[in-house]
Amino acid sequence: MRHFEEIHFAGKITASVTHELRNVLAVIRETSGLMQDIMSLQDQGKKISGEERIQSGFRAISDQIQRGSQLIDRLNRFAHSSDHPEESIDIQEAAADFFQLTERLCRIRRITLVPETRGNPIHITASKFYFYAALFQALEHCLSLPEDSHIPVSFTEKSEIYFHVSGLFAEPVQKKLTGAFLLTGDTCSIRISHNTGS
Amino acid sequence: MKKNLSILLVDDEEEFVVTLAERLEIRGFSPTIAEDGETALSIFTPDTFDLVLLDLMMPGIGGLEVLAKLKEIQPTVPVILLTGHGSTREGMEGMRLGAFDYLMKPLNIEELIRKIQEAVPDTVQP
Repeated sequence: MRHFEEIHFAGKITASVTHELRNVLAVIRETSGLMQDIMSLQDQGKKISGEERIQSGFRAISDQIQRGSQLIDRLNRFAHSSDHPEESIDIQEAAADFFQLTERLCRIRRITLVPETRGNPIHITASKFYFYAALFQALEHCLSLPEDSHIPVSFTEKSEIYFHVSGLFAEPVQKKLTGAFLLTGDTCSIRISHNTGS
Repeated sequence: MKKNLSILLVDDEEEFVVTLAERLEIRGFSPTIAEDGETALSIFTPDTFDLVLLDLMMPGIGGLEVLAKLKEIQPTVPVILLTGHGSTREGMEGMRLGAFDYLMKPLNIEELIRKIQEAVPDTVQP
């Protein structure tokens, strides 16, 4: 992976998560503002029954704090992925983290990744940063697929990750991605499987 | 002088857009919510809305494309863009395409009201 691609990948992830954090702050600001609006109207003696809305406002703020906190946790884990040149990685667990981190990118393109239910841990020793980077390359190709695509993702005991793409658009994607992305330690293959969808 | 300004709010962040609509209602405006570009374009006809508040980053049709289509339908409609980007680049691009102005999230409601009044000068706030 070239240096620019590394920066591009890290930038895309960070931009996506910080954009989502702005939405979290926007909800908190509007909700707290609405609560102030209601209390201000009540102070002015206007008859307005806002107790229920104020209570739901508190719940909304609490939910957004939780959402923001999860986003920061994910971004923090991502930032620490470059701490070690090699480490033991459970590829299913790390992929699950990655899919959460990139959920917004998929949502904007209306693409749904459907990872299979996690089985026994599959460990490799590699750079987690480059593992994420390789997944990101696969994801970028998936994001170029038509909207409303559902893409199952499966894992094999041979440390392979398959993005099962079907339909007319599968073939060009497969050509671009078939082959292994070599990581610094073990080899983990990330492949787009070709299913014509017939 | 115009009262009850009709505003189309286009944003996919449901909790945000619903709450903003409530705050605008309290201030005497008549907001209508569309949660994506397709919905906005399906309900936007000439002279239905006095102003559009449009998020740039949404699933499906992006904000800039929605802006262009709205301007095709009614070139005079003022559109204020909402952006979650830290830079001004996207907002400036939107203004080049005909947006009245842009604001960054999280919003400051007073600033938003000022922009609305600038965009529709005969607005009366109750």
